[in-house]
Amino acid sequence: MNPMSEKSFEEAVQQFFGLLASERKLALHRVDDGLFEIPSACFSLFIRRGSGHAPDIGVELVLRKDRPHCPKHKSLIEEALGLGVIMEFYGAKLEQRDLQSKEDVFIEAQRLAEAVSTFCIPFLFGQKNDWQKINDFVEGKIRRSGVLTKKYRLPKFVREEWIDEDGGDSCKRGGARK
Amino acid sequence: MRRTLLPVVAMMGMWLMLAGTSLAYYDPTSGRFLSPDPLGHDASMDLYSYADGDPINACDPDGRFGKNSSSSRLDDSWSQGMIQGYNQEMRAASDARASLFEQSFGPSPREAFIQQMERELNLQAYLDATTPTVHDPFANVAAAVIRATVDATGFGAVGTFMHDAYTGRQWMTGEPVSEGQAAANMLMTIGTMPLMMGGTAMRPAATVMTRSASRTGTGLVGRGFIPQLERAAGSRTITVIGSGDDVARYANKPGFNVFPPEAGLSKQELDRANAFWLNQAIRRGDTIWQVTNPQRWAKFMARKGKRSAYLDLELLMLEQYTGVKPVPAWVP
Repeated sequence: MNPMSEKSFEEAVQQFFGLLASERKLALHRVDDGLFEIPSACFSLFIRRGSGHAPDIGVELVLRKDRPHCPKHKSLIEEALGLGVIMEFYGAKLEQRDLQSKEDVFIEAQRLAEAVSTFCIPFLFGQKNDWQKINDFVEGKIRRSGVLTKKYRLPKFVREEWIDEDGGDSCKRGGARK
Repeated sequence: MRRTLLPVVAMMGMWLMLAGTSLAYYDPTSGRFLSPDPLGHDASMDLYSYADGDPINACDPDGRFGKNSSSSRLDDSWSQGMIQGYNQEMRAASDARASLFEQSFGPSPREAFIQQMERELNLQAYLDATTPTVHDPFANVAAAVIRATVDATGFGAVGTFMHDAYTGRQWMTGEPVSEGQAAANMLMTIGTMPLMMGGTAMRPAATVMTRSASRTGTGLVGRGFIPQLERAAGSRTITVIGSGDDVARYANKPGFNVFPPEAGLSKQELDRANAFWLNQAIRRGDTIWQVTNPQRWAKFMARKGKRSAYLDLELLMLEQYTGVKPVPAWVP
């Protein structure tokens, strides 16, 4: 059985992030399957069920003005910063953990909610103004890593078939690249 | 059970480039040349036949004559040099691949892996065991290479002689292929003879591939092989790699192969399963589609502080694939 079923994810988020939000007079909204949001006047905090190979809970912060109308396509929120990156800026580290059971999912949600309380809630209330500094910190790391200019030398049987999204806030997708 | 549908080699010599001139084009579907034998009736009563109607026991490199196989020339020094070079390349490939697995998964059965490669790809043993069927030493080595590749992978193989026009160096490559890829390669090669590769200095001197001996119905491959290949070519699998959201769109589409992560595995076990899955796809000869822009995804994941199996494992593995070496079975 998948430890990160929709049901266990939703129960865990509602239990821990719901409590976190209500204690601070904020609201936890269910935006879509596997996606919750705690909005404020300045920022939106998204909690999403990871869609990668390993079960995962992602927590992201994005400026309210950058929040897309249709946030369910996660790659459309390119301006969002992950909780781990924000913690790294402040000298803390978010350990990656294996989620192999339903209990693990609840423990992970609790751990993330505690971290959000320390590192993200101040942003939601406008009590921190490090957003641009964190962005510059991350962009510097990305630039230095060379990932943006890396050319992959792949065999001929590998074809580029991705559809580039427009990077905006719509759900429409761009043309196929051949 | 080993797949036996692509056993080895009918020696169809396409010595066009090596011979320096292309004298007759060969149509493997009919098993005949498309133009008459330049030697006229001195070579054969049938001006369009291949190797005088006996492709198993003779070869006809350029459409002029069916050379009888009287000697194997297995002790030919040129052949020996090529075998050594091939084995060295195999070892280098296995070493690189073992290193890659070690990097990806931590401690791995590296030694067992390399030993298996060497056991499977002992080309000299294959050559010793190969009954020479044709006169030319090139073809004998090709037969051994393809036998080794087929046995190591359980799939078909295409062997290509390469000839560097500047240095005069010649070597042999053996590439494992699936039914579909064999068909596609065969049809492509037939359609584009002479096949130029990799710039002006390098060209395949000849191509030897698994094909039907349908004209005689004897030998190592059976009647009806080409229609099988053609059917397989139409049903090739496309393996899809990319971000989870992007590949999910292909998950239930027929003909597409998407990694199915099993529940309850640790990240390391998932990586191992992921690598095995991709390795199998390469071995089958799947076409692989990248459905996520890697640069864009790398930036996205860096902003989220997350790791990506697509970037850190799948693309890394494909970058390490050298393209002409048999991909061995993964030994867990």
